[in-house]
Amino acid sequence: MNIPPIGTTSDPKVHTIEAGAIRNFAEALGLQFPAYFSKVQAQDLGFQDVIAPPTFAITLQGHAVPGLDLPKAGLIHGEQSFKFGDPITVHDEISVVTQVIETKARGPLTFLTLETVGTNQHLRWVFTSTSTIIANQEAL
Amino acid sequence: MATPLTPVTHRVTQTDLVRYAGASHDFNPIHFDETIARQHGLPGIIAHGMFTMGLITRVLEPLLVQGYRITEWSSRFRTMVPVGQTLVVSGTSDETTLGTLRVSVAVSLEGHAKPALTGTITLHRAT
Repeated sequence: MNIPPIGTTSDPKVHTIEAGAIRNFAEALGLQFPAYFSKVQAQDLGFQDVIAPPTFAITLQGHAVPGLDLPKAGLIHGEQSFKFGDPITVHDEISVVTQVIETKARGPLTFLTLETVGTNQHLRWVFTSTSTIIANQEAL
Repeated sequence: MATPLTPVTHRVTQTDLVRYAGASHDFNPIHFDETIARQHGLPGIIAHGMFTMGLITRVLEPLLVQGYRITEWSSRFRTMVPVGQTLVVSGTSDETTLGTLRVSVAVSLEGHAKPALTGTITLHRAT
């Protein structure tokens, strides 16, 4: 396991938002809000086009953070938070970067907090995702 | 005054987790391969934390239909969710200021007092 210094940031990765990916994600969670499925109904609800469910943002990640090497097993997702700006909308080109913002050790546990920010093709902020991951050295 | 949201009950199946793995591109095998899950010291296949969190969206959908939009959402994952368990998603909503709701949610394994996930969501509606 290796965690690079706080502030280490990935290269941006651009994600093209596709209607099929939104539909698959919404169906996998059993969602029914019409704006996830129909352009016409999304527009009736005040959106420009089909939008993604909020937690779809977790599928939009930056490129690998340089120097970040986490074990495949023994990782626990401890906390997850999102802040949302413009909706994630079909056909968007969302540029995403991931940054190390906090690390701390407590006994055998290492806490790592990563912040991922998405910006759309209009240079508008779309989301900030903050994930705290716990690695247990004794479980490795 | 806190208003209860209509709760949602969902039994987590292996099919759910395979679908969610495909839809989210999270192919960690502990979420669909029992042998590998056991090799990692788990009791069996466990749900993706983000699957459990995503299910909360279902109890929020009536608010979305009313024109509310989610601006912030934080969750703490407290216990694992083994496949085959039935989850109960419940929450309460408080209007903190005109047009702003603060929703507290919990996802519990049926028959267990301690929630597997707790969270807070802020929603806004233009007034």
